[in-house]
Amino acid sequence: MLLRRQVSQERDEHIDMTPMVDVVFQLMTFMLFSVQMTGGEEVKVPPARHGVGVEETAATFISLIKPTTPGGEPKVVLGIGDGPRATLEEIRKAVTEGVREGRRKVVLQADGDVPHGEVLKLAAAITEIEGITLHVGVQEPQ
Amino acid sequence: MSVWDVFHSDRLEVERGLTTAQVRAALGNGDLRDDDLVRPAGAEIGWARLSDFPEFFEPEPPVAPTTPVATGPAQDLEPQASPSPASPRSIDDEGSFETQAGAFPPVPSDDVAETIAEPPLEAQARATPPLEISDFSPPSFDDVESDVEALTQFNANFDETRSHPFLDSVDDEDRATYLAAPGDEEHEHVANDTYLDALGEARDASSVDDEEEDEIVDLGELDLSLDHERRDISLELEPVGDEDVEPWVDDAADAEPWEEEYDPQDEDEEAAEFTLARSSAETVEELDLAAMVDVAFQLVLFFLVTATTVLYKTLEVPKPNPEAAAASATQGQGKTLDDLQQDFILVDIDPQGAFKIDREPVAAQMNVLIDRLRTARQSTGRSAMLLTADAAAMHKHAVLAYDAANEIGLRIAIARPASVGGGAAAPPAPAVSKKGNSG
Repeated sequence: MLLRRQVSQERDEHIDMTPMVDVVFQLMTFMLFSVQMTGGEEVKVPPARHGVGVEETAATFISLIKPTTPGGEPKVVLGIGDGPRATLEEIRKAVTEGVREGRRKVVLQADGDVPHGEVLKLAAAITEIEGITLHVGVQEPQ
Repeated sequence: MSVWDVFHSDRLEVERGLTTAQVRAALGNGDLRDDDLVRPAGAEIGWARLSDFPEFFEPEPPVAPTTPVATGPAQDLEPQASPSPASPRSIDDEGSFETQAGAFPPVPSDDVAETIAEPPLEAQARATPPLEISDFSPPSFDDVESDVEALTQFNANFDETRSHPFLDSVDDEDRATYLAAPGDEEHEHVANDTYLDALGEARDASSVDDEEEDEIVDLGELDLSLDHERRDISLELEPVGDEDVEPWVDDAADAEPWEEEYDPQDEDEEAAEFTLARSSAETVEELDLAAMVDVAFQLVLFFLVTATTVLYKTLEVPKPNPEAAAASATQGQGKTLDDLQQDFILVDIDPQGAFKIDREPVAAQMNVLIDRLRTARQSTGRSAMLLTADAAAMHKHAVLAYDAANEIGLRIAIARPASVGGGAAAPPAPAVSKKGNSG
């Protein structure tokens, strides 16, 4: 039998979120890659053919940045790259703590234009701590 | 001549203006089936199945030989019955069908008077005491129960002992419903699209006078003619024998709430929801997560690759002697450069970056340094290099000497300059270096 039809349509209108999720992920990926690509200001160490790789977590890094004014003293910084100036006591303390934690390697990331005497002076101050091995940071020759 | 509207249940189409003969012919050749629906043309009453009208399945009555026309007029459902004076009026309005056979030419469907075929109960109704209904409309009831009784008798099948194709097809409860009188709450009226049901509802909508419920009212003669143009069932009531009867008017606006126009869908939701149309497929909206998974895997791969390649290249150098040069000298360890030159290959770097190997100037180039150091080792057998760079010399020149010594496998010794660590400007004691990398 043909009865009167009750037409009731529920209009389900909603916004498809799939494209927005894709765009958000693309933006996040771009930011991650861009941050890794630029990097920070590192010390311009001299090139060398020979050398061994040392992980960042396996050594205590000390950076020697060349002075901004000719004849000035180089800037000694704990870690890699630029940072706050560190005293000899702080350096000795950091090296001692590193040895205690198992990091017996001490890497001097000295700029190529830093005077050889300043590097030896710092190295002599660190050598007083027993159980360490001294390394100088280099890079691949271009 | 009766004209019918037919509904084809197989293809959901309505075919209007078919005569009884045409309906019979369609049934005969298979165009119509028992399940198809039929109703008087132009009527607004409910559809009924063809199978409920056995007259359609009967062969057409033979045409009288005196009939000049080739096709006889549409025959009524009960051609053999002679309508009695008091019987309900036939479709052709006067006399028997047999006498009127051929008297009327074929009438086009547009001009035919809208008539309602005699209901299939006609034959059975005639067997019972005839009823007089003046109009095909809810009769003028003064008393509901008496009118119901009259209507029941007219329809002839409200007697439970009688058989009827329609009532035989329903169950006992529905059967009792159709036979129930108004006010019988035990048997609520069930919505049905048959015209019998419409009559029953029209009955319920009429005014009820309780005081005259026992009075039998002559319903008059049934007039099945309908106004084709209006296409409405005439609801005008003719008072019969009682001037106090209120005419029943099809006016829902003025009617009491309980007199509202009957809507079958109000009572039977299941019937109302029934439809022959195909329901649309339910679509389920989902969020496709495949793209997000792909991007997540890309991020994981990126972190895997970038997390394992952070190494710093270094050159191991000997630790300088922490003792001052003067202290070393007082201990009797002071040596001259000539003495040191016997054990070490002397490499000297001035503040301007000029190299000297064994006091001989050498170009500050890696290959040249390597050759000179190799020659000095092969000629003298010395296997260690002593670097004596000035304090003002640049660190990169010292690294160049370290690299050249590691290239050919010389041991490295670093002499502390006089300006470093204080003390006299004497040749410092060389610090014993570890064996360099073999070249």
